[in-house]
Amino acid sequence: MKAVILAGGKGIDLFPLTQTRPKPMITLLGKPILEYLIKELKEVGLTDILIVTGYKGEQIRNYFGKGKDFGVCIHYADQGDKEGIVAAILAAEEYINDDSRFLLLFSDIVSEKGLIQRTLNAYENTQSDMTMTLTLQGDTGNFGIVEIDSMGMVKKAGIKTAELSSRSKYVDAGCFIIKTDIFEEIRNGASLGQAINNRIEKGDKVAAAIWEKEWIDIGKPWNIIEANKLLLSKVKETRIASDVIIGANVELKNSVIIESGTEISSGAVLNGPLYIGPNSYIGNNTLVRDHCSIGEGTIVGFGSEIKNSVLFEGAKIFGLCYVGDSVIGKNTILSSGVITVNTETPRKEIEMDVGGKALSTGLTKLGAIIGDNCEIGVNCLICPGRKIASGSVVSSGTSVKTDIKN
Amino acid sequence: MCGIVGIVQQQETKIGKTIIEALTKLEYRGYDSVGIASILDNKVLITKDQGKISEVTERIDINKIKGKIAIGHTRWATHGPPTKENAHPHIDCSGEISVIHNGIIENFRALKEELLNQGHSFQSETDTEIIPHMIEQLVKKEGVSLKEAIIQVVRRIEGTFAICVVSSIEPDKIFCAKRDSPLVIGINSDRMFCASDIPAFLDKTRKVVLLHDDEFVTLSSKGYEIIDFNTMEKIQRKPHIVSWKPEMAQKAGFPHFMLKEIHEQPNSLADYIRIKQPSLTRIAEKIYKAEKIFLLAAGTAHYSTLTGEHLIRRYAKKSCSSIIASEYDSITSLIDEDTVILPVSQSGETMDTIMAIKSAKELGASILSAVNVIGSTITRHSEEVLYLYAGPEIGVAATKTYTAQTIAMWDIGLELGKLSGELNNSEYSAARKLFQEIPTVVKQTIVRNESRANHIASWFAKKNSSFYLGRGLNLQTANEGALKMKEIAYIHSESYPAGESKHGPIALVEEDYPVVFVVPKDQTNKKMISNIMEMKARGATAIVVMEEGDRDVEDLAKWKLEIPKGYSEMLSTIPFIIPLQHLAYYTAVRKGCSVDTPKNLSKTLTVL
Repeated sequence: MKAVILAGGKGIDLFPLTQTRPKPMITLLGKPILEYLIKELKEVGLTDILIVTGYKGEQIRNYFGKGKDFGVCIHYADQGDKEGIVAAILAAEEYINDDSRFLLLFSDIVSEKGLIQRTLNAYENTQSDMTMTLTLQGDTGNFGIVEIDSMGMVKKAGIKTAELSSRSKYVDAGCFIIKTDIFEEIRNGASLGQAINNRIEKGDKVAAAIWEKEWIDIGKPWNIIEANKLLLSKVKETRIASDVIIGANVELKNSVIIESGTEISSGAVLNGPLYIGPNSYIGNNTLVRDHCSIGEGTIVGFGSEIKNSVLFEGAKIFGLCYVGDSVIGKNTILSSGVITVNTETPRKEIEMDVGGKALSTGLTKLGAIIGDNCEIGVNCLICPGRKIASGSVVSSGTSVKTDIKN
Repeated sequence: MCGIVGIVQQQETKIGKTIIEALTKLEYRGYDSVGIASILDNKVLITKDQGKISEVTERIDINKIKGKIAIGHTRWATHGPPTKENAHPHIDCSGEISVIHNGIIENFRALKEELLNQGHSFQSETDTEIIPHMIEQLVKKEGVSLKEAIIQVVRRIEGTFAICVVSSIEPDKIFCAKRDSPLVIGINSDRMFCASDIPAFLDKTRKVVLLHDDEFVTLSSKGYEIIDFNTMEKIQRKPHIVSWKPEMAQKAGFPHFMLKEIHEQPNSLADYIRIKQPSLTRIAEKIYKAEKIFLLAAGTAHYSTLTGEHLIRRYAKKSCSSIIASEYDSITSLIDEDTVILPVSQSGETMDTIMAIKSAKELGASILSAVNVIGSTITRHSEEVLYLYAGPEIGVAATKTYTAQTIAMWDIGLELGKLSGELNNSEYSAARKLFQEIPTVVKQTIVRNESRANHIASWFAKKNSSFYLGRGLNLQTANEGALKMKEIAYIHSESYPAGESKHGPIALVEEDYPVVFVVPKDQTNKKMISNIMEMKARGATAIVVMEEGDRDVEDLAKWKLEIPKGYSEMLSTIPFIIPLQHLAYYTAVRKGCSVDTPKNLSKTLTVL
């Protein structure tokens, strides 16, 4: 069976991080999230993969190439300027050719291992025509709600929120086995959910593969921090490359991964689980704790604290900074004394402006989301849940109280 | 549900052993009787008996059966009790055509009538037995070929079926057909399999052909031929290789049997309601006439009998006690001819309960039981049986059988209310209306609370101790909820009558200590509220199972699990347990516990 990964979306809600990269190239623990999916596809034996690209697709093509380095065979299709899942699925039609079914995967999901295997199992076990992987989601937000019957078969897919008071809390987890009949439904103007419903009406059996473990859809900026935590929580070993330089009085707790060429200066406390990429420098008396992923070539200066945060490659956090529950973009510089405030005082749920709307994040701790190539001046203070556009320069001593958009 | 399997091969081996191994993998589909048909020296040999596979193979040496071809069946009785006669395979009058079947033939009475008129004689009460006789009629009387005869038969029968036929007429072939019931083919270099489910032969081959409805297959040791039995067109279908781990297969898309069984409850309850059992009124009458009533059960079933105890006291106005089966000795001195013993059991094989009812029977008591497994030991010792119709339950932690037992208790309770006049006509019919709607309410409860339970579980999983509090009828819900939590999530959880909690348990409460309150909107509501406040004052974190829209309770809770309106009094013990099943399940998943097979526990305790 061939696998189709939809990776062409713009991911506008992930501003500012998607200003400079497509969503699937968001890098956690040194790998783009798309790589985790490709690895899992390879593990279940689906090595014939089509990636449908669109927005900034060249980054994906350059990184994955023909898939040789990843043990799979990758083809590409382009959805061009046409946006949306429907356009992406149609772009895959030619590649599927005369196969009767294929595995469809969204590229912005991060989950515990085994999701794709579960889908294949359910498909074969139930001998169904199609299969959708479902997971429970508390806040169903923009997800397509799916109703199932007592035997675990799909009754109706793609239900919008608030249709029923007693609505299902199962949402599709972005992994499907699809019959190619769906192309015709979609060409006739149906959305993916409608197309599946049409096929159900025509007598197709659609099985639900229920995923009870952790699953995150990277739809909003704070999901990156959650996904990072999920991936790190599964790291059960400490692995330090042989050429890593570790100074005196460095304290390591729990699982810590440190890649080649990195230096940890004396007095640093590394409280795992955490990941530090190659060729980085962690300065004297720093504290790195609680699920941090630090990209390649990053600098953390003297006395800084990094907590539950994602630092993309080449980020430079100079002395005496505090970075908590935040995402720092590629090559961004935080000058000395920058503080990302990560709680409201008095404590309350933090809101974030997403696409002009203030959304409740459900979190009481959330710091800043800073794009690539920014320069934040000395002693800046960034309020909780604020975002700074890529390439911004913030002068010293500023209190960032509203988002900085280009 | 039944499990079927067939093997045809080039070499003569101990084929009985292979059939038994395959059937063992299908035991989840049913396990009340087993049978095999094989052909040796051009004669069809039938070996079958009632009982689980392991029991039957102890009595009969099926493993030694030799041959190149055989079919086997493991049964879950729905029509006709599990007896040797009713066990499959069934055979025609001449003893040449044997058939195994999974499904239900709806028009079998008319067809059986026709066959009786034609002079066929029947050995069993099953619907399946008409098939070999119909085939025989066509082959022997009308000179049709065996294959053609089977095709004509499957076109005539209505209902669901997966059938396999072996006959000494063509001793090297298995003929199969299916509609709605599952059937798959497995392919080896020198032998072919067919079975209800892939795990049956997964240790032998991974090459599988899936069959669709209305397809007919001829299997020989060299290959397979598929045709559409309506159009007679040949169908080309290549095998594919399955890649999954065998233990996954039987659960469809669910990760665990327990979750599947929680979701099945609207169906199992609907089945119970749909099948009207004449024994119900007789049981109610006998309880109403009795002087002393004891309910007898172990484990989860004990909590369902506490609902029964409450209802018998309320509606029959009789002194009644629910006794844990292993504590039966404490009541032996009370048992006489005027005593009714009502054992409740999923398996009908719980050793403690069997020993107790045997002794009570000797002392003259009437035994009236509520049991899931048809024909099990307890039912054979009972004057009357109310069946639970919950189907096979695989997860060790009882879910759908608990709600089935509980609905049976309510069923008996309502009948008693009618008999005694405690429920007048309009009250009785109102209660019966609620009763009919239980499957819908359970469905809504599942949908509404599953993701909340999942959310609460991520917090609960970090705890190592908890309390479950309730009052009145729903003390039982608290008991059962706590049992689920300790059974599968290994979190110490103690259930207590809420009013009693200040006499001891409250001393253990500390900051952020989990306390689950079961708070229906009935006469216990106000008192429960003061219990919640009491616990909160000591730092406890309150999780409430409550009727939707009960603001007084909602405001006190950190987390709420909501039951649709109207079920706080009548039938409350059914919907109120559902969210607690989910809570235990997701907590166990978060902790990485083995949900379906918790350590140190087994499904049926056949030891004292």
